Amino acid sequence: MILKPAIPHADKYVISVEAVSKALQGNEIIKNVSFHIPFNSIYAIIGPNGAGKTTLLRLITRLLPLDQGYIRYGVDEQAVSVLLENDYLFEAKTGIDNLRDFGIYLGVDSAQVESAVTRYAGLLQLNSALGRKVANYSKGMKRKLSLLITLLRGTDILILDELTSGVDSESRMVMRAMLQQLKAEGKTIVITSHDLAEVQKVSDWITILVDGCNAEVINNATFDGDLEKRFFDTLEELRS
Amino acid sequence: MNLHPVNRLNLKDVMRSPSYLSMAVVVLLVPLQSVIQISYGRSDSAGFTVAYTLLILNISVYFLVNMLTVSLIVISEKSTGRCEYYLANKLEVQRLTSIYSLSSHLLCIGPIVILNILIMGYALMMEQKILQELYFSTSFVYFAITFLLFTRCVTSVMTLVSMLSTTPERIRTILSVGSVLFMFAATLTGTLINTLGFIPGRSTVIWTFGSSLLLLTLLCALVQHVLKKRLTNEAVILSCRQ
Repeated sequence: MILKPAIPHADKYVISVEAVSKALQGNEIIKNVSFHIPFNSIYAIIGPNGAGKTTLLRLITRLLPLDQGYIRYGVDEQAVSVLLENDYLFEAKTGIDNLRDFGIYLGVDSAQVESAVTRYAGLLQLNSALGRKVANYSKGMKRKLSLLITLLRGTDILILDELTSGVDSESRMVMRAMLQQLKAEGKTIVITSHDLAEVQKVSDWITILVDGCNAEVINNATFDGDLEKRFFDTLEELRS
Repeated sequence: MNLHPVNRLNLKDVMRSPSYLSMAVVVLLVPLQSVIQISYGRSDSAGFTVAYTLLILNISVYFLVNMLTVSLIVISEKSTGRCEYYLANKLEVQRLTSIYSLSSHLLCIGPIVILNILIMGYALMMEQKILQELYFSTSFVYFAITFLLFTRCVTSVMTLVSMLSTTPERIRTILSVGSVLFMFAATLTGTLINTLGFIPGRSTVIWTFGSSLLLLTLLCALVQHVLKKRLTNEAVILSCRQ
């Protein structure tokens, strides 16, 4: 039996990623990555395409096993809801039918579905759209519906992969307000994004992932520079 | 029947789909008409012909409908990536796969049961002695049991293969081609037997079919056992197209 080493101040963190590595098909995708996500924070993971963000999220959500290192949860590991990069909606069904059907798959009873709809549909400006078929939704509405589905289980940890990908600025503003609301409710949110301006507006902590390595961890509360500039400076430094 | 809500959802969704409904109508009408036609045969080999045709029709209908239901449920969920979404949100991969498998199987067996009820009803109404004797024989009960076991096993294996495959759409093609080839091969075999004149009795045919299905079920169960061991989140996720 391998004893996992104690992580200092582990009880402060909802997720602790410690020296994690992962190779796929002979290529090392994640290399010795460590970071710790505090309770009730919005934690962003950013990086260029191919940096390993998706693989890292799959490791965190236990979809893939680790080759090395540890990922520890400060709460029940089942209390995690995930929004993936793509929308997996049933296009031929209405928004409300999607919510009910996904609720069935996710083991959420109809009362809980109704409660989530009542609580969040208005904030996401989806109320009038739920009776329409998803095939007629815009990209922004689909993304908002996907987020609403992710909120059905009412878990304390949310992992949102490219939440605002392909979404217009109005929808992005709605999503931003939603993230602040969820944080105010005590949730911990992990996001990945290519939209650095958006990340800088909402996040408490930012990890820059480059070529599978954790290049930098930024405390957004004390960071007053331009995230985009910092990101590209970091990239340039690593690649030179 | 106390079904999991997801099974009920799958059944509801698939039974509304035009492709399933069309297939269900075709697999009810065409075999029924075939059985009605051959049941009027008066030759010495009529018993063999009716038994052989009925058994082959049941198996053929299963292969055809199974191709469609596995495609509509499993392959569709896998190809769209919805599978990964469920797994990411803490659904157990073994549980998810067994739900898919049960839904597919129920949707296969439904039309087959209805077909046999219709044929039985026809036999009783029109006093077709050969069909009546066939349905109410011990050998047919044996065949029915082995058929159910066989179909359950095969559907389960096909579900597992689809979940683990990097090209689930190819599974659909293989199943389609396989169903057609089976019908062709079975028809050819029946015709050959009739031509050669070495015609077994009705009971012999049914017992032979039943025993063959039992043997195939055991082989499938072995394959199922091996595939289940390979069924992990990682295997399913990595087999999904990026």
